Amino acid sequence: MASSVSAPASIAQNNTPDTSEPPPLTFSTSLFRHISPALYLQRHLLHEPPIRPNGRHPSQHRDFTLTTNSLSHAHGSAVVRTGDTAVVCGIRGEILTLAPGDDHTAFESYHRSHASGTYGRGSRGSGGASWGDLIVSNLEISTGCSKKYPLGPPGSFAQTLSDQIQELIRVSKLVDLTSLRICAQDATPEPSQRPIKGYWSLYIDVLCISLDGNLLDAAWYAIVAALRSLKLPLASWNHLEERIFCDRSSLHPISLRGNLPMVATFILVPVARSSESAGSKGHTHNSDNIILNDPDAFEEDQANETLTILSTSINGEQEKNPRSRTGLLGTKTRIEKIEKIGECKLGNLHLRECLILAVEKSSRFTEALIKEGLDAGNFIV
Amino acid sequence: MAAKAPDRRRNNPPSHGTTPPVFLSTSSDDIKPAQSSRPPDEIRKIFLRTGLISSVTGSSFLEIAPLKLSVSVLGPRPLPRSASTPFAAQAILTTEVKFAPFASTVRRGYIRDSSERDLGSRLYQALVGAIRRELYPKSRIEVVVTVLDSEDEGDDVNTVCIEDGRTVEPQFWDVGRADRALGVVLAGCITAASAALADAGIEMFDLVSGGVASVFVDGGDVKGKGKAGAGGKRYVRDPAVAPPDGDAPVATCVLGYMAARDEISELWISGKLSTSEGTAEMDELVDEAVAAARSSRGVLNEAAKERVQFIVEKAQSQSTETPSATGQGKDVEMTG
Amino acid sequence: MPPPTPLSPPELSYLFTSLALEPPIRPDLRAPFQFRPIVAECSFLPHCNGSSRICMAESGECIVGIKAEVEKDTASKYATVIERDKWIEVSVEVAGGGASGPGSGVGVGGISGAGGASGKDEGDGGAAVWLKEGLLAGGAGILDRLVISKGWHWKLYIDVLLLTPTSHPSPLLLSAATNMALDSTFLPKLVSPHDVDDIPAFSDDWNISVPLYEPSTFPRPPMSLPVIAVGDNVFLDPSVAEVAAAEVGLVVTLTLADSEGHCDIVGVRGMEVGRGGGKEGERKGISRKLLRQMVSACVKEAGDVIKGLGESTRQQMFRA
Repeated sequence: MASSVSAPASIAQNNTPDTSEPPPLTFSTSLFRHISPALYLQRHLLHEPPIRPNGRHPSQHRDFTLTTNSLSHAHGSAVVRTGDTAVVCGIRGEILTLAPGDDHTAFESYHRSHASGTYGRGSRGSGGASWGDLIVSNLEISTGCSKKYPLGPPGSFAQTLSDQIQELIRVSKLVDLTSLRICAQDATPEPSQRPIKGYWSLYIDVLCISLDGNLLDAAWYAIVAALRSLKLPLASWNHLEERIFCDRSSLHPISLRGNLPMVATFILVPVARSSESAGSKGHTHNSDNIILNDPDAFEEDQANETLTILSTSINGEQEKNPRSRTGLLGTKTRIEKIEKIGECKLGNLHLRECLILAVEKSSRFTEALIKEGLDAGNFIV
Repeated sequence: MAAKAPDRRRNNPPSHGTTPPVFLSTSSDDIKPAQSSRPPDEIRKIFLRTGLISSVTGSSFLEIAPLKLSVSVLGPRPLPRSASTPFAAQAILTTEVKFAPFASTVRRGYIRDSSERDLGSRLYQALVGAIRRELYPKSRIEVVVTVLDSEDEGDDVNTVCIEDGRTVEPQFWDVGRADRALGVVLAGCITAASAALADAGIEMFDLVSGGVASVFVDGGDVKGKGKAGAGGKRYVRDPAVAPPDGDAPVATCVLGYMAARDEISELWISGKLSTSEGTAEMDELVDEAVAAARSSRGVLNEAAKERVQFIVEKAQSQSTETPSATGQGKDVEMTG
Repeated sequence: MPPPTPLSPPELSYLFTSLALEPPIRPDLRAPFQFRPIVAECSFLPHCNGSSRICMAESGECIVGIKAEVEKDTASKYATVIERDKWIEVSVEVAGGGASGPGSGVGVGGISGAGGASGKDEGDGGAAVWLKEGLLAGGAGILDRLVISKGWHWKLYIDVLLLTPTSHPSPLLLSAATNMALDSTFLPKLVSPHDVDDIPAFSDDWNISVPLYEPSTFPRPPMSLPVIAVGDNVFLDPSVAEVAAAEVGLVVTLTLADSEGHCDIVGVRGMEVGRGGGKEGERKGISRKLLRQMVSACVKEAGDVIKGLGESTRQQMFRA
């Protein structure tokens, strides 16, 4: 499949073959890419204007397509394709019934006290029982999506990402946990006074179908879109049978945060500037690292720094031109989490640039959600 | 889903254990499978596309509503060098079929269960003869199928009917329905895997396509459609897993078929077939399944053709524009 | 993976050629449709409802024990549709430890659908899946025999223990042993009324216990026959070496439909064969003509084999 990315027209005719005298030692470019991938990438980035091997500008993210509710057995689902990375997310609700003696307040409070911590208590292994554990997310990459990851049980990469996603869901408080309660329907008028009989548990399963870098962003967008499209059947307590039954005919969405948090991932690639090229540079990259937005698999291999930003646009209502928000940093955008993995120093300038790009990307995603009819307006609670 | 031993490599469900939602319906004929409007000798529309995954050798995506599956082919790549690896004069083929957790009515776990392994080795059987394995010595070809969505038992597994406050008498399950559902998935897997192998450029004797057919005992109302066999039998190609009239098929046949060689590489028949006239009844069922496989072979051919066209066009455009270009975009001048 | 064989490629090629001859020569000089002799014994485990032990010259020895338990119909707590396929549980294990010992996770099979390609996962092998499939398939009718009374049924645990460590036992061995064990299974007699929802009560007198398969009721328990083809020749009950050399193989499951010895086909599956002796470009699958030949060979012979085994079971039961 051809990449959906096309090169900007301005740099179209760069390599008109030099007919006069071939240099003494040349490789074909594809060979160069394999022999010395780091240098290959650097040479591209040192070009003026800098252009990545995949034809993108360093700050350009891949465009993506979003499809929701295409699976018949999931309560909510989404397919996200960005470039050659494609993920499928399916969410199913199952019911956790409280035993008659169980106290739901203990169950819920346990979560509250831990939710503010930076690192949520992982349920890996032990399978804890607290409110936050109702959302079980897993990411599977052993699907033959890439040559790099063998089949079989998840390796460290898959485990790390699964954990990262689980943590992001907790930290960002994406799902309003109170909406997962299943109450008994008795005469008490006040909904909050009704006895709680059980909870919905959400199984969020993300399968990577095709992997070409930046899996986290694609997976997160798929999860957000799938949660948006999620419709659970109405569950209620049946006194006669003493169990929870669902009604197929009345479906309801769950309440999510009004302002959806979005992630954007960047990498830093070291660029060793030779003296002759350094002098002529006028652009903003004055350090030895260059920021690449939305890296692909080839670029990820060369990165020495990964930066993930979770941001929310405070302004829920849609503006006519979402791009106008770019640059209005601080007033309408809140940064919720920055995760930096790597050895580089990161200046304010870099950070600021990344933030602007992150906002731009998330507004692009909001547009995609609106196109799917899943915009925030219908759902804000 | 009942609480199991936790999987240390994954995020686990709450330790209390959760159950799938149980639906309540007030009348027993609430849930009816959708009536199919297809004539019995027509198979469902197949969507097949190859080469969607760039990072593997070959891939395909198949959709036969509601079945959706993605196949990737890894290799041929060298066998790991270790003392335990035997010498292989022919390529070693491995096949794996995995259902996504959300692919069926009852949520599946991540660890492959016996039915998934069963499907994997039936797929192996269907493909192994068709590949020219002797051309790839000391190497390994992996075929991985991920089933994203499938047609199975349907929602009546978890529906309780209560009429006038009393639980309605439970019905008996049509035994073999789950097996039939797997058969339909297998036929899809075979077709899609062949397409992916072709996409990977692995040499084969022939493309294998999958076909399914069922035989029903006709209950009088033939409605003039279908090919009425001997003794009021009705043959249906590519049958729905839950038959619209509620009657279960007498027997079902799933096969992998190589049309150019007229050979069957994998065969699975389940059900009751009388042998009072020799194998006539079985023959007719197999012929119907072969006919279904021939229909899906047409789609397979189209997909292969499309792919070849795409490659040819890409090669042509590259040779005219940039002789040394490796892929998309334009390359920057560079010398060693 | 095809079954492992001790034969070298030249030996396989020789075997292939001799099997493809007209008339064919089998290594043990059997006729193409001739079965190997078996030693069969039944009802020898006192604690089982039914049991059998089968010994085959080359394939080894196999013991089957069947235990029955009383179970309420609604097996799963969230369903009203009774999943009757859960009334029978089959497990196949290999005794003697080693790589394919119980719990090691290596599938037992040889039949297409066994084992899985990588063997990384846990769980039982394909042989159990295939044995159960044969029992449940359309004509077998075992499930109706398991109904005790309104709301109650027997649950059968069929445990197959393979005493000879091999990863590819002959399907005939496993299915003959299962067949015989089912044929010799007795269930205690119900003394409470049929149409009451209460827990059923049974007589503790084993002398009046009822057989699961009443004599001369049909269909009888199913049995699977392996069949292979080399060239145009079809062979029943192939040995390990013959499977390794064969081009194609099938396992045909049949059940006796009447006292005349007519059989119904209840299942056909592909069998993994070695393709050891063939040459490139030759047969890669089964042509429809060959399929007919292979299945009719099974149909022709199955009646006598199943009847013979049934007779032997009855004789032994009578003596006991």
